[in-house]
Amino acid sequence: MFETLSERLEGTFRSLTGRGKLTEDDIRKAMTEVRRALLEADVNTIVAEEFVKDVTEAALGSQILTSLTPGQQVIKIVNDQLTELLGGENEEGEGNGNALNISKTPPTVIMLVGLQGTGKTTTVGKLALALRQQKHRPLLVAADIYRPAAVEQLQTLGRQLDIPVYSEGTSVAPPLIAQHAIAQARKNNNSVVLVDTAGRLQIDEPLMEELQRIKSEVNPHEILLVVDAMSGQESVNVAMEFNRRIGITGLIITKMDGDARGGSALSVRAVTGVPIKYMGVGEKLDALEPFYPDRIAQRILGMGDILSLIERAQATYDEEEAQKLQEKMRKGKFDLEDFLAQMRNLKKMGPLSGLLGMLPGMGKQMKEMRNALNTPEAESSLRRTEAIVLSMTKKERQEPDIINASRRRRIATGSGTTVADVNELLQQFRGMRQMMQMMGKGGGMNMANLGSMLGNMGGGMPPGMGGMPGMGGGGGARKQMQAPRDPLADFKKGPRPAGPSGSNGGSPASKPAGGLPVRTGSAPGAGQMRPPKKKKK
Amino acid sequence: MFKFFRRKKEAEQVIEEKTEQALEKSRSEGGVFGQIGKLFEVDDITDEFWENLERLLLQADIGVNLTDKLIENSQRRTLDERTRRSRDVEAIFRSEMIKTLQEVQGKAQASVDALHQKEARDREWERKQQDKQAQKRPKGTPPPPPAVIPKVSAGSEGEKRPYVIMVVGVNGNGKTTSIAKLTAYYQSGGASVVLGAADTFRAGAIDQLKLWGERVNSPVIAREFGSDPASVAFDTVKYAQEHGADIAIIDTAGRLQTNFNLIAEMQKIERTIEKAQVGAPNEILLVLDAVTGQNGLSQAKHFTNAVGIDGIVLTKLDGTAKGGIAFAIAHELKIPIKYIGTGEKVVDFAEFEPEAYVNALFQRA
Repeated sequence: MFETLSERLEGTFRSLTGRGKLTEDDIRKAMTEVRRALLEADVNTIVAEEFVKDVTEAALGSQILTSLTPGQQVIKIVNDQLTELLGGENEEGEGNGNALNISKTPPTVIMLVGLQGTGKTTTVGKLALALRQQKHRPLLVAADIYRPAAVEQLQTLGRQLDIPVYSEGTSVAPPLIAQHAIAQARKNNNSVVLVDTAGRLQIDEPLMEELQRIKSEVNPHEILLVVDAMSGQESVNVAMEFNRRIGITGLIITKMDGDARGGSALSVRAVTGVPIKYMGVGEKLDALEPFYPDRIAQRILGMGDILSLIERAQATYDEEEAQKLQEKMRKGKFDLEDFLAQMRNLKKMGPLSGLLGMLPGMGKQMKEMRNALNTPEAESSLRRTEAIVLSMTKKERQEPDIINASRRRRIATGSGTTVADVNELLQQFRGMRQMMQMMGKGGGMNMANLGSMLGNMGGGMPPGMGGMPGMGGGGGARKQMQAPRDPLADFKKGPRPAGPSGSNGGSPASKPAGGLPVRTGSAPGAGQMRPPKKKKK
Repeated sequence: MFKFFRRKKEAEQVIEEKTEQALEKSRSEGGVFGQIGKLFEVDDITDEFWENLERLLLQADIGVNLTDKLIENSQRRTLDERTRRSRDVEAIFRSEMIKTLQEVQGKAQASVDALHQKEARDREWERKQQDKQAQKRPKGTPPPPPAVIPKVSAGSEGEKRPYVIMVVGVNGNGKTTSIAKLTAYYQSGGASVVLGAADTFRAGAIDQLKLWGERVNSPVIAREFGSDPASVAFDTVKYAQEHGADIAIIDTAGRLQTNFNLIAEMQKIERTIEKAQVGAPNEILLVLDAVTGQNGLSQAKHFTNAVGIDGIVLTKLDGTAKGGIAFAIAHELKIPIKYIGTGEKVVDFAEFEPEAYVNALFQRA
């Protein structure tokens, strides 16, 4: 929807060819765009202005690195500062100040507060699950007696998770409920008490007083403010008021799985100074992640979130399996069985459109590809590919080269497709295998060939097939993948598929770009992304 | 005829009052629009003035594009009219804002007006209204009843057909509460309403709607937690047909606009409703939290592409956020705001009136 900051800055600096120091004028021009980008990401105006001032100072007189264009240079500075403002770069592994404050003398009391509809109750469930995985014994407390069925909602969550819920219906005052809950937690040896409070407006006097009373009653170790990633300018006022009245110790940003840029997270963090501890990334109860400032900085700037994508891929892939796969790839033994397994893994990772949303805005091509994939056609093409592979015998899957004309006919009939479809798939598979071999030799993958593989996807190849296998590259891959974290990697000029593995169709084997039999519904022409027409039924 | 207009006028007053009450907080010192009002209290209009105005508009979530446009237009008109007096500029600016909303609202309004006229002839209905007028307007006055109860012409065999409203939106923006309010609103106009609990996903959602149903005294069609939402919607429409209800309102689960599968599920609900009754759903409302920032545009866009949105219910206006994003949506996507939610009670609800809204925003505390 929005032009990414990088695209804008590239535009601003296109005329600028000189190297050396950025002039004040350059920076001022750039900052207008930076400010706009921040505002469109819902960063608070005042925070944005302060930020721009700081960045301007930092950028003034900074030396331009020879490898960067002035635009890239500015983005690097902006990104660094933004990450800083969000809480500094997250170290590999443990989140620095983000860990919950767990009391030495249990029970640890955690209170969740916020406006209506930000996702407090759901987050209580998610936190409870996360804490139980860390060997805690949580108790949930239903202290929202106002919203109809809020108590039932928490009880349902408790049942789903098999975690106890303390409630006293809707006629007892919340501070009392909380107090009684703590007593019960002591008795039952619960190590953590999670208090779900009613959503309230920060200007609602009686309800804010009630929060203060709950606080003084239970002395919470953490008071977490739940902030909706989609909220706008007002989030700052809300956070400041909650902080003033009851003092918050941390933030949880919810609904980050949408396409909100989450600038409000930045604003709230900036004005309250408390760390963002977690973010909610889905409706399922395990969809809670630690907060990574660097990733969100890139997202606010419209640069996508490569690392989360990789992690999701890693979570889906069995490491051992992945290593075996890499081995196979290197030796060129990647067969259709692996292909099928990869495809299924890909499906497990969630809808394609969501995955692609995490990729940085790679300019126009990327956007078109996103559109192309965000369709039933793309998903059904995946299904069709699966059907074709499933209609093969085991032997055929392991040695695709034995598939002759009569086998093709049988496979086509078996999968309800045509021989042309089967041909196309085999051709793609061969191209892919070849590409993987090259990659395997190159030792891991980098952003550029991820881009090129993704670029392939529009060329009739079942979407995503190319990109995924390389990702699960076990322990080593993580390090290699760090490269794209450098924002600059995303801003190398030119069309995305510029990787070593060729820029069109992925490999010579699939070169008859225009001549391929084109399936209805999939984007015609290799490497040329075009959103298929939406079918209206 | 005359009575009708008087009634209409009074209704307008209530809407105005409600809008004003809701926006009180944003007008008081801290609120964004209160500051805008204050901004106009200077004598002369300077560059600094425009800068401040820009900042305040941005803080209202109006968005960069529309803010630029509003300011540019106002500046141009200020030049054209050769005025530097703040009062004139304020008038110009207000009219620019109202215009933005009305351009969109106008289209929706035209069809409503047509219905108004038809309804003016409906004597019986009018008498019913007069009874209602008798008991009027303490604090917490219910919103004025709808001028028209939408009707769907009966099927070929004379079977009754309800007017089906489907309510959609992202998670946590107040869909279920808005449905309760909408129900009470239509009931106050004499309509019978049936509710469908097609949010079978969120824990507690069915109970929540059932509780509201009890409060507003309206049947709620529900199945168990986790069941197929489309079939609940189907049942609801069928139930409404069998019992001759005027209106059926379908609650749906909150879903993020980027979740492909959930959007597909919503499209399925829509298709299923159409199977239950040709032409239904007659109205699809998108609920939007006033606190929403620029992402609101993306929400409106995606939901419109998926099912086609007929109007927006702007909720939680009783907070300090004023839903400036609705301006941006009206401006960019031409989707009218139909209702506003102004508090947690069933009566905290009103039709949206662009003029009342903008004027309430500017009124000084």
